[in-house]
Amino acid sequence: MGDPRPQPPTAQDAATTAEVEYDRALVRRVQGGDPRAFDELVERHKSRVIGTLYHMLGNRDDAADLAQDAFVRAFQSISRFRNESSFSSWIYRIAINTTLNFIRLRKAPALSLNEWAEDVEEDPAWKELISRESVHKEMDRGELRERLNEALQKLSKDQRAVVVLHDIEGLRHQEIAKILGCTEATARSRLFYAHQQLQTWLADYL
Amino acid sequence: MHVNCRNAQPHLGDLARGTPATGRLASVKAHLDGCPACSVAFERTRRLQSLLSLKRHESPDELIARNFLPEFHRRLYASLTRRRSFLSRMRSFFEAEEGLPVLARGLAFASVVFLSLFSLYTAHLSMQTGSTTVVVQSSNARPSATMKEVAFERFSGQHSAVYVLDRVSYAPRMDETSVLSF
Repeated sequence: MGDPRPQPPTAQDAATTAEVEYDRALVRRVQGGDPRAFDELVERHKSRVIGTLYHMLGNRDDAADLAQDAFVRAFQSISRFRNESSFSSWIYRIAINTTLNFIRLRKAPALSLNEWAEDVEEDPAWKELISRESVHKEMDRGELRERLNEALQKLSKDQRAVVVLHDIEGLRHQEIAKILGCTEATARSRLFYAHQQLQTWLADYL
Repeated sequence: MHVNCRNAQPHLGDLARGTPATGRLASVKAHLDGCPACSVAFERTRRLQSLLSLKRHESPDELIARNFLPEFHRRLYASLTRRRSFLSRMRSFFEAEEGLPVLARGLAFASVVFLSLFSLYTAHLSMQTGSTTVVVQSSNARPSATMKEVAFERFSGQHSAVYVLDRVSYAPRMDETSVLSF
């Protein structure tokens, strides 16, 4: 059994107490009648929200569209936000619920994907992958990207949400349970069954 | 709680991500050290998570992020100026924290207005005593009587007025037909 390699800081780690407090101050300003403070909240959280929705949908235009909807809804409901939880969790919850609803209603997913950044080859995960004997040395990055996205899209929407939040965004089960409105045990169980399916579909790369 | 393969496996994802092995995870890790099957499952989970983490390099276009705020302002303005449907406004009203107290005050006010109007109406009906003529044949008396309309009967939808004899008094008078007006 290999030792777990050091992981990059999770999204939750990055959301330090100071950042959460700063968000709270911005929310209080919006609630006090300063709508410009919401612009700063948008700027601070847009990348993570768009990224998460993009990984869930596999379509950049839909992701941008739904992220816009989520921020508009958040602004309209900001008076009801009690500042007890973090703004980050709250906007995630709105965005993901909007997306789950969208996935439920759409007929077939239309993938619209972006290329991987060039620095992927510097990622220890990439280096480890190409170092394995089982993986073809001239593996095409584009093909792997497509296989990963196809596999994610084959998961049920609830499983996909947990995989994206846990394995890509780096959130903990406690946070995921709050965002999805389920128990930690349910989130953990969904992740476990999703992993089993992904291991089957992506067996060539494992 | 005893850790076996079945209840250890849902925790492999946490360990594979590098979550510190404390508490329950420490028991799971101890189980992994002595269980070859779970060790293989752990390694596969770790490799899968490593593979999925590569998707972090697949971020949406810079252009989307750059245009996000102006587009947000445009949508927000559109949503604020768009006339919302009746259902949507009702939903917002009940979802708002201040919605229910406003509704309660409104209902209380409406109840007071209704009860006031109802009282005025019934008072009006009770004053509206019927006027009729009763002919009484009497050989030796001149009766006088008062009639009282039963207002409630009228209010309940029976438009024909119902009268009850309230009081009759007699004044001695010989062989006269009395015509009384009420």
